[in-house]
Amino acid sequence: MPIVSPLQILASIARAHVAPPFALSSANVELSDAALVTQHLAGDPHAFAELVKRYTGAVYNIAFRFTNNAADAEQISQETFLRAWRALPRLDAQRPLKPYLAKIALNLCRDWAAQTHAQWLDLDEQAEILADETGDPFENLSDQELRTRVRAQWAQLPPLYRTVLALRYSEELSYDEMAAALEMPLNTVRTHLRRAKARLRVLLEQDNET
Amino acid sequence: MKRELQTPTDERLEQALRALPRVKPANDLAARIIATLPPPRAAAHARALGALMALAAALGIGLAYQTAFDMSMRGAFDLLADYTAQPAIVTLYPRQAFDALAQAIPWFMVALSASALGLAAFLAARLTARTRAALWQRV
Repeated sequence: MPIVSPLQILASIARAHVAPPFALSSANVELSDAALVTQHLAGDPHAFAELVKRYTGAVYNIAFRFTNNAADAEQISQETFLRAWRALPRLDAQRPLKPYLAKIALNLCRDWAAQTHAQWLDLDEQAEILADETGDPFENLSDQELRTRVRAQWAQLPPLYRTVLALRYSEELSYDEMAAALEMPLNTVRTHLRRAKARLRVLLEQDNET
Repeated sequence: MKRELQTPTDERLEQALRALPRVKPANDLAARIIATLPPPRAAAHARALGALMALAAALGIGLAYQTAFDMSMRGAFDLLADYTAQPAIVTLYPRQAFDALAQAIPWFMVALSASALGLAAFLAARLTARTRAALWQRV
């Protein structure tokens, strides 16, 4: 029979009794935004860093779609998280965080537009855009080619349309969340989205013709 | 009511829009953002909590010492020594024995020092709760 030291016995007892809760707590379970916000407010320095890692891509994407400039998008992203950090103690932790961050980012985008005198939306874009809806102008394009052209033409859209499309399709926000983030009535958001798609279609048709 | 986009072309356009990837930021952007964030407010909160705990503990210890001194001056310890040496006093005259002891104890000071020490213990528990939880999570 092997000789077992008292230390080994103690270690095995500790493993038997202590392992289950440790295993549970160390499991790689992704915490919800609300849990991370609560942990941050309780003083956990890693909780907000986790939120930054989780949403940097989304915030940067929104800022870039608006500004079309990497440096400005980075600066807006940085300021977005700083403002969110300051505002978190007043925020309802149960509310989804992504639309809230989008709202901060879009407010900063508005400030950026005011500073750089960039137009949110060209005046001629305010009118209803009528795309040719007869036939399929892209029938000669494969899905891959269409995606490539959409990516290229996206940059030609006004900032607001680029942003609305990004919020809806890249960030998958609901109409309500988009309305909250853009601080616009729901119907206005729907109108902008419809016009953005119509405008994109016109650009694609023009590109297809040339 | 205006018509929503429904044609096959529009459906293909929607699919193309959904399939487009995000514009990706620089790999180190999240790290740079984290680096610029101020330290958590809880750190300052913990410092204040620690200072308050130290103050409460010092006050509690001082008051406890003063209480013990008062009890000694009022003869509470002598009474206890007598009761220990002659238990018959307590068994024969329990009411008088406890009354005498109760009068020798400075109850207000006892309550004051107990409150201060209790507050120090509560603050110590609050202060170390996070560390204890973190230790459990980390192991």
